[in-house]
Order: sequence, then structure tokens, then C-alpha cells
Amino acid sequence: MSQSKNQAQLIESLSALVDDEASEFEVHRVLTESQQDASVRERWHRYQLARAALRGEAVNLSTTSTAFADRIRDAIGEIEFDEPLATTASKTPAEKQQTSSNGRWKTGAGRFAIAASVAAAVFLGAQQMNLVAVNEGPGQAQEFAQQPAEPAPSAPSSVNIPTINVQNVSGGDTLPPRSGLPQSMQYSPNIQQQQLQDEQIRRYIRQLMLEHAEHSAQNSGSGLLPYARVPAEEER
Amino acid sequence: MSMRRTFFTSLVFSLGFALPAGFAVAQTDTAEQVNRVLREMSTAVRELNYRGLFTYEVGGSLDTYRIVHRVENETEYERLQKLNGPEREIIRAGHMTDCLSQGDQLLRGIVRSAENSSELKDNYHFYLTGDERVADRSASIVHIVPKDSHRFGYTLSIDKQSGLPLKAMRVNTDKRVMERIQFVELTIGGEISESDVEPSSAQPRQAPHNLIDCQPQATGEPAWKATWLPPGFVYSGQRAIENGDHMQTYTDGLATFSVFVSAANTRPAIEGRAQIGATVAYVDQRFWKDQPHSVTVVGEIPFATAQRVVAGVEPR
Repeated sequence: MSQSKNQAQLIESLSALVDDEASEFEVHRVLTESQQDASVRERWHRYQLARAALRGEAVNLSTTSTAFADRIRDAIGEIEFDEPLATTASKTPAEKQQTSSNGRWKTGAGRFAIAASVAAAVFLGAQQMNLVAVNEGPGQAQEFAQQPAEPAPSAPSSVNIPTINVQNVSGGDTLPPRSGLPQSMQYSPNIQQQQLQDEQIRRYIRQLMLEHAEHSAQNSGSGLLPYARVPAEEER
Repeated sequence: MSMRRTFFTSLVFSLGFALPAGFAVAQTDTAEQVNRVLREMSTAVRELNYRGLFTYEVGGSLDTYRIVHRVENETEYERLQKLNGPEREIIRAGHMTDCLSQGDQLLRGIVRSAENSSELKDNYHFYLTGDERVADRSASIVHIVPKDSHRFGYTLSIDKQSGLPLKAMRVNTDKRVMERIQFVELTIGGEISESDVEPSSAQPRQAPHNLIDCQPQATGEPAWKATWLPPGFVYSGQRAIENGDHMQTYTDGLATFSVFVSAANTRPAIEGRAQIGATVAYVDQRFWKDQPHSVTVVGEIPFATAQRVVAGVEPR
């Protein structure tokens, strides 16, 4: 395949990704190519700016590689995949559960996708480390791409009813870097710690949603119906 | 260069779609009609006896619920049960029907104080676009299109006979349906016994309700200043929630959001955003007097709105 043809296909994939129309293969292509080619990252960034402006969203002008990874992850969170994503060898029980039910999953639906979330000081450092690892090879990138498929809401199984999907990503997106926090600290939580943290965040946000539902049930002319929006805690 | 789907094609496409000109009925012709429909909806939800089954659909997932609403001596008694998955039950009892929340006042077009003079029509276009049948009942379809990007749109199907909402879809800025609530069966009026609204599960949640809902000013000034609010949103109350966080609430009559502030050292220290269906949560860490605080906005509003509200929260 000639270089220019390859490039054209890549740009097409990138465009599709921005349009939420990329296939699994295209996501992988963009992820892989972007590791080597800064121009791909820049192009991605320009597309995202245009898209954010269109939607009236705040835009972040930084183009660091971690910001790029964040944005890819954001975008993946909004993509509708045509085929079940490839599975990888090592899985936690939670991941196995997700895999058994992945397949089609849709935009912002039935899942609680934290698009660019960051824990505080120590945790931030750990996330940056994770992202570095992700960029090391295609095998890792695959796992990275698979992650957001977590709750796979469209499968008609009770396991997949709205859950809060916490994705810890380093803070590139719309959040300014927290000056004064030890961002470079090298600390990597083990899987148990990671799950504990995710669980804590999930529970905390769910609690706020429940309180908010109470307010909404008084102030939006719809009786108790807003409570239906709160994902049930037991249903993960 | 052959791009089968370019970003810019879809850009032009969605710009075209963003214009609410597609609706057939002129707004002025229906303004009074729409006001009446919304007023009736707000009244019917609170004052009628009804029981029904509805579905809540978000993405590919579908949940089913039973709701029972009973009014006795101008007091509401309600029970909401989730019918699939693990048991879940919400009980709300004892709310006076004449205790009108800020949201109810906005929906009913009640004239408010000079500083809170916002009206729904300042922030939304309303279009009556026809009729449809939902839960074997005849409903009027109301399209509600926001005038700015700070809130979402709606399509409501409102029961012609009673005014109750039979179907509600929330539509995002890209005109995609984010969630749908729809009755499959609804019985209006008739006797509903006390036992029908009493808790039946092991762990029902008692939904709080109190005077704050109709008199937010009774609790004094809001403890935290919101230096930026989207136009049309009014303060609707404050309280301490179960975990001790402070909560302040806002509504424009249709959309609501809540602001939570806590000392960050007592909570998971997180920053970021989260979404499920139409509900977003935006969390940020802020420092006041060298103390870390966690500020969160949860609501059925776009991310950008939530983010801007969070950025504007200041200590009083």
C-alpha cells in the first residue's frame, strides 16, 4: 500500500471517528498510527475543536499526547460499534462480565461514562503511567479501545442496566492541569485498589444523582418519574 | 480525496437541523394553548388520583415501573416501584398540593417576584404538532425547543383528557433522543386505597419533601453563591444531604440541576464528568482558604452548562 493511500485511509478513519461512525478496525488504526505520527494527533485535535465549537462546548487548546489519548477515549465513549470488540487475554471478573455482554453499545446510553475523570494528586500520576503503558504496543491499544465498552447497555440482560462506568483518565480534556499538585508522582495502584476507587466514585455519584432526583421530582412537573434515571446500586 | 463520510458534511447537516423551522404550526397561534397544556400537566401530576405502568428507556436498556398517586385532604401520597431487577421503591407522602415548587410555578406561569421574573417562553420555543395514541389514550404532542444551548429539548405527549404526561422524550442539541419515559397503562381517577401507597419492600426510600419546596427563601440565602446561572434558572432550595454535603437546587420549570459542595477530604477526590442518559455530573476540586472542596453539578443539562455553573460557585 502506498504511503499516500495509507494516509488518505487514515484521515478517513479519523473523520469517521470524529463522526462517531468509525468501525472497530478504524479505531485501532487511528490509535496505532497516532502513536508514531504527530500530524495525526494534530488533525484529530483540529476536528475535535471544530466539533466542540459546533456543539457550543468549551474547548481545550492543549495538544499534548496525553490530551490526545483522552480525546480518543472520549470519542470512543461516543461511538457505536458495529461488531463486538476483540477480547484480550487477561481480565478481571468485572471485565469478563462486560465482555460477555458487549456487542452493540450506543451513545451515552445506559452507561455512566466518565469521559475525562481524574482522581486527586497521587491518583493523577498513576493514570499518566497507565496511559504511557497503553501507548506501547498494539496489543495494549486494543485493550485500551475495549475499555469503554464496559456496560454494553443494549444487550437485554439485567447485568447491563444503567451502571456508572468510571473511566479514570489523566486530566487533559476540559480540565486545566492542577498546578501545585504532585502530578509526576509515580504510584500505580493494583487492580484491587483501582476497583475500590472506581467503586467509591460510582457510589458517590449515584448518591448525588439520587438526591438530585428528589429535587427534580419536585421541580420538573413530572412527579416521581425522575427517580427512574438513577441507576440501581445492586445492578452491576 | 474520497471521504465517504466527512465530518464537514455532517457539520452542515446538523446546522440545518438545528433550525427549529421544520414545525408546521406557528408559535403565536399556539402560545395560549401550550401554556394551558403545561399548566394542566403540572396540576394533574399533583392533584389527580392515578395508577399506571411506565417504561424508562435509555440507550438499549429498558426498565419498567409502577406508579400510584393518591390525593386525600389536599395531600399527596405516592409510591414508585421498579418492576424489573432488584427491588426498588420510592415513597413520598404528605406533600400539600398547594405547596407549589418553583418548577410548578414556572410551569403554571405564576407571576413571580421582580428578580425572579423568568418565564418558560423566554427560554423555549413551544410547538403543538399533532396528536398520537399512547397507552390507549389520546395525547397532544408538544415539541419544546430550547432557545439557547444551555438546556435540552423535549417532546411531550400529554393526555388530552387529564393533562398527565403519557410520554416524555429528552432531545439533545444534536436532535438525538437521549431518554424516553412512556406509559404503557394508566388508570386515572377512581379510588386508591391507603395500602396502595404504603411501602411494600424491605427497604423503601422515603423521598423528602418539605416547605423548602414552595418557600425556598425560608431557609435564608443560599449558602454558596452561584455567580453564573443559565438564563431562566431560578434557585429552588437548599439542604444538607445524607452524607453531609451541602445541596442547592435550580430549575427553569422543565430542566433541573443540583449543586453539591463538600470538603473534599471527606469524599473521593475526583475531577471529571459523567453521563447517564440525559443526566450529567460534573465534578471539580476547588480551593478556598487553602481548603480543598469538591463542587459537583448534577442535572439534565449539557456538559458545558454544568461546567460553567461549577466554575461560578463561590463561597458567600
